Amino acid sequence: MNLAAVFDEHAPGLWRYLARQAGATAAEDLVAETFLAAWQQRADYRAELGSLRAWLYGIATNLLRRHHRTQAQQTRMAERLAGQRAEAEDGHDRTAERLDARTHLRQLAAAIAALSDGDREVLLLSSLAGLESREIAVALGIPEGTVRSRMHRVRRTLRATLPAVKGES
Amino acid sequence: MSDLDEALRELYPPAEPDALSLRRARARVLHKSRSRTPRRVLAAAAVAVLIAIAGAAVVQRRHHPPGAMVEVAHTLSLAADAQSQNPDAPVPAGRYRYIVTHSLSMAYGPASSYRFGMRFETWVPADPDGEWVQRRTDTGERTYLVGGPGPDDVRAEPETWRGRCGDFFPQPGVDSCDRPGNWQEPTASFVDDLTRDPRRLFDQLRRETDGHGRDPDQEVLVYAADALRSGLLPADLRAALYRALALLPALTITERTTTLDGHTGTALGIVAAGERREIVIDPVTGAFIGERTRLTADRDGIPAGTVVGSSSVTYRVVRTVG
Repeated sequence: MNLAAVFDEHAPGLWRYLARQAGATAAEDLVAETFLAAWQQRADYRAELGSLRAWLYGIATNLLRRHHRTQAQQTRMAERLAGQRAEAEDGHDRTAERLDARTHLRQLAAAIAALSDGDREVLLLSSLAGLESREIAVALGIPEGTVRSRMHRVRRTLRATLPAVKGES
Repeated sequence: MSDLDEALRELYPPAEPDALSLRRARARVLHKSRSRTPRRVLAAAAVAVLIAIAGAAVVQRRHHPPGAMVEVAHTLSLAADAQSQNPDAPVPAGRYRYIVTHSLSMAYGPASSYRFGMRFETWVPADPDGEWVQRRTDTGERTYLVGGPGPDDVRAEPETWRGRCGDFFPQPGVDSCDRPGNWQEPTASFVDDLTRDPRRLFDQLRRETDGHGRDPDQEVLVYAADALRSGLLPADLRAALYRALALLPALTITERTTTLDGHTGTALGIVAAGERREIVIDPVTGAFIGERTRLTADRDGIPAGTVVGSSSVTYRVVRTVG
């Protein structure tokens, strides 16, 4: 494993994924920890089971889970939403529609916070990192069928918090 | 993009990496990884290391009765001889080497831990520069060691992958047919470059496993098993690997007669770090049957003695894919 080359290829994507959930400062630490952990565990990497990318996201997800435990994710998400809400309310176009959208977003945030770690990770690895089911299965060490069924269930649950809309796939 | 995805985008606003932040993280990673395996020191101390290994070998061997050592060497040597005398028949043009690996691995969930089965079927064309095909099948085998079946545990659909030279995950800028490979993914160039001299092969395994895994001897066995399990090593290399493994101080015959996936053979293994890792070979034909990992201490609610992973491999020549 050429660590520098692997870092250059995968670090920007991992940084984005981690920063969207944990903020830029934590993302820097988590990216570094991900690659150091990968370097130490490189003997465990099994190329025949999946891509390097999936394996790295698996390590990052574990670190993120630990990070969230200590940081209390829900609190930060609530704060972030409160900030967004204040911004919306202070804005000039304080339309009923926008406020309504914020309410739904808050409900969605609460629903995501209420998911089990495993369910949330499947959702975010797919939606934020753009990993395919096969890669998520490798990252989380679960069968691909489980990834698909979780994804289906989680998306159905979360869609229920959104306003009724024109058909979603 | 669905409304849900749009909402998620609002909830988790996209962030662009800050170049300085990435540079800092990179410097930290490269610095720390080097300080963990200082290359210069390794090179300078290479001789000392080898002497230390030889010394350790002598000391550790004393833990086993001399007969056990001889038996390991004898078993591996017989297997090696058999492999050398029975090289694989070449694959005729237009046909395929069909390699089947059946594995049982652990999945750890919040409420349950279970073993699940997968089957990997690989068709390697007579000209290995051609297109390889691999089918991955969830066999549906489930053994619950903690908890029981949950609603999530659904059997996955089979998947088929194709790639030139066995490169199922091509990377941009890398020639699929000219990948260096490693013990875990033995490409043609990796296999060609490996020495067939058992002592040098052993030294190479020692060097390349240095600092990996939880036990140095066990890790050598694991690396050798990784390569053997691929089904891609030619007979002369399999024979050399068997003879190289005979140099492992801690290797013992763990079960003279055992069955793995319906095939009977002899298990050779190393107990360390709470588990017994074994390879199973047919001592008469020298065939590599597979490998197995068994806990020797309780772990995460799973009792000692439980098999937490295994894989077996078979191969033959076939006319068609599928």
